[in-house]
Amino acid sequence: MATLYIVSTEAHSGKTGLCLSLGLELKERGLKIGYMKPIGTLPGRIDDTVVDLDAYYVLKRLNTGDDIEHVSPIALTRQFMAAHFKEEAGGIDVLIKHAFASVSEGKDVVLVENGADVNEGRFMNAAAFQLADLMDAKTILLVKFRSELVVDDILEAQDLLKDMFHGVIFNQVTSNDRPIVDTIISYLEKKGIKTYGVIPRDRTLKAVTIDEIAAHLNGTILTAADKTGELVENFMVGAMGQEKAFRFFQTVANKAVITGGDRADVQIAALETPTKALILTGNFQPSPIVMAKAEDKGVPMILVNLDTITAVEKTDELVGRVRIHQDQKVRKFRDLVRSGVDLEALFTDAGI
Amino acid sequence: MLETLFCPTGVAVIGVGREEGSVGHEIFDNIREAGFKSRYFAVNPKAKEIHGEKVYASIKDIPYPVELAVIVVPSRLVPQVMEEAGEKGVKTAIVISAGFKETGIEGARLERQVIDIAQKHGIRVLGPNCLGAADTGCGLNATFAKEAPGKGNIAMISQSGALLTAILDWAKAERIGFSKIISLGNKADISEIDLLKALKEDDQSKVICAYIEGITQGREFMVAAEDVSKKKPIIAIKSGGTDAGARAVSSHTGTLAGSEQAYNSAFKQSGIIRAGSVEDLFDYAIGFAYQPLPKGRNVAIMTNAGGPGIMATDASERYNVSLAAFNRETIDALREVLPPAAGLYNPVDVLGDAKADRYRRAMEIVLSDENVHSMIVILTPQAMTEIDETARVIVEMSRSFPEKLIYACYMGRADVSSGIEILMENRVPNYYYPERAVATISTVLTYVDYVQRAVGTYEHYAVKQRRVREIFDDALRLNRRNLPDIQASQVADAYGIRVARCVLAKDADEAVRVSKGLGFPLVLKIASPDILHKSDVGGIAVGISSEAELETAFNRIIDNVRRFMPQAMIWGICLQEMITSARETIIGMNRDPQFGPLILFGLGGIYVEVMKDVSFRIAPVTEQEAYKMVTEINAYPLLRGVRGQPGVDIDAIVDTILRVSQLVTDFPEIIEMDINPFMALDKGKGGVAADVRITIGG
Repeated sequence: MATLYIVSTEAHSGKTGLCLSLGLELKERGLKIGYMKPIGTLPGRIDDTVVDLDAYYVLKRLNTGDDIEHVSPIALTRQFMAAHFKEEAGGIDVLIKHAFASVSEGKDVVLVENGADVNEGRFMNAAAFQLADLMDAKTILLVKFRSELVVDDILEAQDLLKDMFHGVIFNQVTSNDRPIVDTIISYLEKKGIKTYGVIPRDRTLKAVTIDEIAAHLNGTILTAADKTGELVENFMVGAMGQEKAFRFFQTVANKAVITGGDRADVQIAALETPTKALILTGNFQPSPIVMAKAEDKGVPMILVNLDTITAVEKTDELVGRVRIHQDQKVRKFRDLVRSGVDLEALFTDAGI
Repeated sequence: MLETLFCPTGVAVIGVGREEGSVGHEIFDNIREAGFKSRYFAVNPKAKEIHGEKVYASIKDIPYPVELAVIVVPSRLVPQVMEEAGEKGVKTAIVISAGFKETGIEGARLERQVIDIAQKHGIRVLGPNCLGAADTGCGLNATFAKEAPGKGNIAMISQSGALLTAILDWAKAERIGFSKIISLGNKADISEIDLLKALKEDDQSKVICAYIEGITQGREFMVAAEDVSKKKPIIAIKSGGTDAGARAVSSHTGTLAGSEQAYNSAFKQSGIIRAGSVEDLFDYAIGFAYQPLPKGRNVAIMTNAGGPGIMATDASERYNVSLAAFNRETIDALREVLPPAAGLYNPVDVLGDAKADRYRRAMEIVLSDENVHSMIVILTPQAMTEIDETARVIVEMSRSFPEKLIYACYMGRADVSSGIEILMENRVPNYYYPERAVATISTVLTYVDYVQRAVGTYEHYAVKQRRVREIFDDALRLNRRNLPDIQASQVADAYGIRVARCVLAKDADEAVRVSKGLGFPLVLKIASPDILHKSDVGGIAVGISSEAELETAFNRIIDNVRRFMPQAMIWGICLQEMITSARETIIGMNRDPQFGPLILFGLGGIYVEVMKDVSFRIAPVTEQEAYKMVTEINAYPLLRGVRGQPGVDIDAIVDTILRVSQLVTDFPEIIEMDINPFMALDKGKGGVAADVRITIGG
């Protein structure tokens, strides 16, 4: 049995997507797959048990047949951590080891997903470099490319993981950044670090559903309730006159427009251009005739009890922290992994 | 077309309440009182008799043919009523009832349902949520307006029903009559386009007036309006021209208010006369409806008061109306009949003591002059003035000279009112102030020019459409909405627009090598797909005249761009020959949601940005319109050449406007395009696009 441990340099780097892509790939090759996320950073309730929601989603998609308690043995809720700081409970590593044993039973490959970075979980002896050893795993570092300085993070990971460090995959690399990333890859090679691939940045993966927006803004859906599963890639604010708004909105597709509920002019301009949703601020009910038009065009209107500035700030929080919990996003990410990562080399080196 | 809306055989009002004051009851009464020539029926399942006339339980029970159904039942019952109307064989329905799209999602659904049923039965629908329609020729008043329209030959279409009732009340006081009035309501089926087409063929309507808030099928509207304008004038108020007004329009109608420039251009190109207010609308309407179109541009002014005569003269000059120069014989004849102190030239001052007879003699002489095509007759009430008698003289002259346009200007209010009554009843329009009479003549003359203008021709250039398609497909694949200028220039080039030669250099050494082939002076422009406004990031250098300067400028631009936009991808720097001794102009385009591509022309730099001295047209433009775009800007004399300066190559500008027009018509995905500057060279030398920007959408 082989164990691949997917670790990242920071949160929201694409680990869940990578685990899913690798898992689906291996499954298609006829291998028995296990998956676990020892430390859950996205706690949520499933059937009254607190588990990691990313782990729950991957479990369902990969259909490994394991219990969620083993797949996600620990979810870092505030209560859990507070309790731990008050009275340091030992044996977390044992708990994880036990769960891992259960998940790996009868499997050919187990994919293990880490939390935010190599150090996360150190306070309970469950950081990546500690767990990798425990599970005898080969560690892949997923690096979200922000700047040249990510090299420091990679070198730190190499120091901590030592011979369990297996290689690097870069993610979210724009075409502008590609030349510098190539230079970094050569540099890493000289340091004995292998790069298995580069995954380009893709807008659709950053998209959020209208449901997610509505939930995040605590808004009410007024129109086109059947279209709230659609993905929004861009947010635009409408505070100008209709003519300017129309010209501004024309150039951006798959967007949500944030404007006052009383701004019928901006709302109509948005509805006449490629718009996926309208976020109406100030809790001003829109004009009935405009609502009828939105319904007709299948554009959900989300009424929120926030002013426009706050609504913009809150939607900003959403962007870049989105989850991959949509089939179309998983498909897209898998395509990117297939074309950007040398899977054969990765699997062969990992002994799969 | 739409005859069954105005002159149907058999009308049924469905939903005639027993109580007076209910909408259905009022409509039924209005139909009874207007003296409708065909039969009319009341329908109400709960009533037996209204005003002694039988009430039917359903439209299907009426034992006579019914072509028009006027539906006034609660909105939820309209689908069923429409179904029954269809079974009865109704051709047109006026849905007065509210409670449809204007009330929200459920209402919109109901409206669609009603229209689906109507379409199944081939019924055309006016409304819903409207005041109704009236035709004074057939004596049909299927409205719930308090006032019935008087008979006349002005047709009035309104997107606001309530405005119509105000207009009817006001028109009654002014003795203005109508051929037809139509309230559009929600425009679920019948739109202003249908009505324009129908009114074109309507002999009773000499003029069409319209109050418009928003149009959805702009291009179709223009085509219909252009066709109608050739036959009769269309005068329109378009509201929602300001930001706040647009908000009100969108909230009221659920449509875009549309850009002022686009509406102005669309109206201009399709011959529609735009009125700024209801007052203007009726000034123009009676000016057209009551008098003939003049055979020429020359106006005579006759007055019994010096001051108002001068005011009229000033107005003529301001409104570009030419004052007639009289024949020698006219002046001699006037000298014979007028007192020595009278003014014999234009304006003709018949003096304050003029009685009706003096007006008559002077008018006869002046109207007989073949240089006079129109006349404004001004009257102020002095003690000896014969107000009514003079009005009768003016009416008589108007009949004796049926080819000449005559407007009266009875100034005052109380004393002159009896004279105004005589004038207006006899189809001589009266204006209270000379300026308004002159403004109306000016409008009439603009219309005459439109009707008489040569039919425009559309140029069709041989172009490389496929090349442009490839460039756009590539850009869309890379999700690039703003084309990098190298690609934008290739697009322009594919359409035969001369573009300044531009060579890309990746570093300063290459730039120096390239410059040997190009020569100096040069313009340097950053080449990056991420930078749209090159000058904002220090990405441009002009007037580079040596290799040393070139090297410095090259490195400075790269440093600037790296500092301002560190993320931008840099391809290099474009070296472009610098065009000197040319006039900078701008040829631009943005796509209007209602009317399509709106082309702009102006002089570059401050003329566009500060003076807003630009002209607009909706594409495709004809060659004639393209010429007008160039000549109608205020700075045109600078292009033509002033004070010994040579003029620029206007043909090259026109040619480029036409090529841009063809390009943006061929490719609806172009949402913005700017050639700024387009360097217009001296006459005969053409012009060069120095910078091309294109944004694509879709």
